[in-house]
Amino acid sequence: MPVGPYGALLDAVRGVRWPARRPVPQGAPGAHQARSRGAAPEFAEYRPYRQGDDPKRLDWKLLARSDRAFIRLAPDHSVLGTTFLVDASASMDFAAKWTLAKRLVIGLAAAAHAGSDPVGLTLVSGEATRRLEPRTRQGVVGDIARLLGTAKPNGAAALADAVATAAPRCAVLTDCLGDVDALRTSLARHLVKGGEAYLVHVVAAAELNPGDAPMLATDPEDARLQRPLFAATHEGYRARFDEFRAAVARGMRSEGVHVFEVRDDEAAETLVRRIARPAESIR
Amino acid sequence: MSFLVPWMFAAGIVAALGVVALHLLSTRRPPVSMLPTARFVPESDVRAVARTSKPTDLLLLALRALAVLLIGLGFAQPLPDSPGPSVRTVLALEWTTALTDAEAARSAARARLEAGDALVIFDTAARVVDASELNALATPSVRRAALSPMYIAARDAARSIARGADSLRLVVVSAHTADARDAATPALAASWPGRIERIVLPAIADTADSPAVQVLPADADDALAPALRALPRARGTHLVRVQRRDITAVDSAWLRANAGSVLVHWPRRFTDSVRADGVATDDGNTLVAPLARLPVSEGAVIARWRDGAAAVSERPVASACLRSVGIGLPESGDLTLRSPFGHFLGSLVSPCGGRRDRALADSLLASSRDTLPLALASVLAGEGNERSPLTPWLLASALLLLIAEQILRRRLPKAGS
Repeated sequence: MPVGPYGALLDAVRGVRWPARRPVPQGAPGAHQARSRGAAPEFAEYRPYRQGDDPKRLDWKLLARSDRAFIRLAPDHSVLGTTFLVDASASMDFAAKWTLAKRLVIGLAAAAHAGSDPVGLTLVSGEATRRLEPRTRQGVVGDIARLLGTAKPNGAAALADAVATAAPRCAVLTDCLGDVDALRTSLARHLVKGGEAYLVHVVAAAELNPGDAPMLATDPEDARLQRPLFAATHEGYRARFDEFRAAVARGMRSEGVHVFEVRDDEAAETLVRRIARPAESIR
Repeated sequence: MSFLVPWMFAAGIVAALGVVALHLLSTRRPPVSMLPTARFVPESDVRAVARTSKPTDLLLLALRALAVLLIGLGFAQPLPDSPGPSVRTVLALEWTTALTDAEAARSAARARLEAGDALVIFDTAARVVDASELNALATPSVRRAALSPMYIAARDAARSIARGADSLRLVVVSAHTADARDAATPALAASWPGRIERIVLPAIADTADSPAVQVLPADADDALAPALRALPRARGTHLVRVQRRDITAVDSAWLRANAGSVLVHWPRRFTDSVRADGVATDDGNTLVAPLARLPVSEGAVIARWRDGAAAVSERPVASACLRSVGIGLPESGDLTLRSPFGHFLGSLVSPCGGRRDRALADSLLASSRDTLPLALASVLAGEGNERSPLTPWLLASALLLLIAEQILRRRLPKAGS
């Protein structure tokens, strides 16, 4: 698998799995608990036989003992298709945000793919939206790595529209400096349809603390937006940025989105484990 | 070095200090840096004022400060102090034909002139000349003087030499005759802020005697003869010959033999073109009567007809003069016996250069200002339209420095870029 610079990362997350946070819709057999019951050897419960049921699923021993016809049910497991919706706008090309985003996608894709889940990628930049449909085949993580490697963040990206075509598990990696309100609405619709939604809010350490040197801060997506950042405005900047991040997290969580704020100076391996951690272990 | 507008120099210094202060307290844009979260920075003025602890662009600063200093210096109009005595003289010299001895007047002026003094030559007009031109003055040709233009020119001359002097003295070397005065003369004399020394030169008519008049030929029926015998206002010790016929070699010899004499050529001609007309002399006498216009010779016009045509002309001959009278008198009537004709005749027989009236000059001298202190040079230096010759050069230098500053500023990298 041509994973390029991600070899160490893949080694580090080799045993990591990314379980669904709730039962998934019935689909191809997989690692995630499905909402439906199937005929697996593991017993779960009985259900009275109904016309149309497969007679092979009758518990003949029980029928012989009690003269009652029951169907033996077992918990079903299904795969969970995953789409990584990556923000490739110009604002992501700052400090190590883009690098971290790529590493997180590769790490999470590897974790999902290890559970036999189909994984795909939707890359949204200011120029175009590039898609890699969710697949389970062997080299899909490499395909994702190649597509990410050829991408160059630019312009302003509209992520909200891309959510509609995402797989049931949609992981959005963005700095939330674009259409975050529209994205929240789209993710809410996705959740209503039975999907799962993750928001990985990528933040640069240099954004959290730009330093004391005076600068004329310029928005890479809108060069006309220039504000002087110096000692007198530092405090106000930090307060407003903190408030923004808190508001985004609050709004997304209120819709049921799993929100993770990651910093570009954190190790991707650690972050992958944190994001993929099972629901019951998340505080 | 002194300044015409000293406060402008002080303003230039203050402005230059301001330029230095602004250079140290520069307003500059901070360096541009990409920050995706720039929208969260509170809005404020993009420019930031920063105090530069270590001055940069010292050449630029020097150019600016120097340019401002030169502009202030230029508008202050610096004047170099001219060398010379602390008391300087403005000498006004009358230069007219009325002076009995022009060379004596020149010598009197020369004796009073020193380096740094100013010389004003005047007759009916006045002009400021260089003291070195005194020896090169041409023979005077104007009959009378006027003091009023002299006082005005003397003030101009005083302003030109006042810089660097303490006091100024006005010395007027003139005949000081009454006809040199006009209505403005007393006021102009009083406006001189100090002492006026007057040196009185002898004028030609400075006498109470009457001239000796001879009429040729002495015809008994010539109406002019009795009038000439009773000249009421004629003054002078000179000889006058009135020739009623054509001038001969005898007349020329007589004229050359008698210095200061006057030969009046007044042909006695009978004409029918007598009509009412008027003639006026340049010393103010007029005659209105039936008269005939006759041709006059070339020369300085001393009387004119009412339409400006020449009626009497005067031409110097050696040290005497010849007057040509182009006025035909009626053969009948009592014109020559009337008082206005007598006055008019007095002008025609006046000495060469015109008649002088000493009596009024005495009253002028009575109001002398000899006892006043000398005029303060600072009083005269501060008036007028004096300009510093250095001002254009200073302003041009400042302009060049500003152009150099522009060029240098374009070559320097912009702050924050």
